[in-house]
Amino acid sequence: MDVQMKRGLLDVCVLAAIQSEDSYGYQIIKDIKPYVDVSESTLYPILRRLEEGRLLTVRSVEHNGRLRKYYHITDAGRGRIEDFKRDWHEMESIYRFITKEGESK
Amino acid sequence: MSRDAFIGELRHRMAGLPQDAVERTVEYYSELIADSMEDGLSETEAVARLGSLDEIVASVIKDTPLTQIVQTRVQETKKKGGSGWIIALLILGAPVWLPLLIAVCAVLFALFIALWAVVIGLWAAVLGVIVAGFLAMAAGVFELVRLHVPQGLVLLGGGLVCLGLCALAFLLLKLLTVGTVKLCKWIWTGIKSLFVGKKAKGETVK
Repeated sequence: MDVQMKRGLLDVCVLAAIQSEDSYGYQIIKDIKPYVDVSESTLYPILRRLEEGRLLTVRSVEHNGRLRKYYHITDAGRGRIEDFKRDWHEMESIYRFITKEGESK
Repeated sequence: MSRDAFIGELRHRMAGLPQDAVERTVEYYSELIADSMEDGLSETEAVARLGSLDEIVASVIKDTPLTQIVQTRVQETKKKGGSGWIIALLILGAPVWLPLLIAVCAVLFALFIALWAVVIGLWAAVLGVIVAGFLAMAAGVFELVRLHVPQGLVLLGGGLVCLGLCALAFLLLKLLTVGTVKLCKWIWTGIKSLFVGKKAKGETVK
């Protein structure tokens, strides 16, 4: 897949993984992996980028005597997911156009 | 590799990056190792899952602006003992190293320009041949209409050969351009890595 495209998709995937409840790095990777190939080192810059863009916030919670970072989606983050859904409808109609053109030739 | 060895090596390779970036990265990977182990993986497996250190460090360097890297480097040098004479040396040596630094930057810049000049030149050449191809074909048709059959056919054929070669050249040039972009990015990351990972000579791995 195109690198830029995958980058954008991964952003939304990470946001989707924390939209129903706050989650932490290991769990996010576990949730996304069945759908998209994502490694520990690719998730890291994504989380940083989303935090800097204020699409999510981070808080440390004590867990088994150590700190674990939980990621919480912001309203802007939810907005990004909605944007993606809207874009997807547009993408679908473009896809239909592309495949239809292919068949008629 | 054990958890401590991994974290130690990670810290060592990130030496020269801003302190908060180092701490954040170490926290992130420590947490992943701890969570993997809680999930039933052994320490070695948990570390192996994280992938290669090269990749991890490269991704952090990519995300850190060069200015921040250089700033950290300068601050570190200042903090170290005996920095007074280092600064004095830097100032006294300025007539020597400043022109050298400017020269190195100029050479790098010239290389960059030369590289792109070749690419742009090749594109221009191909564009020229495409135009020539179409013109030759138009002239060929014109000659045929005037019943100069041999000249007309030669011109038409020549035009087609030009266009055919251009189609091939276009594909090759596209590859070359993409390659050049990648090369430039690679060099840029390389320049950044020069400032990271190696502490002053003589210092051992912590």
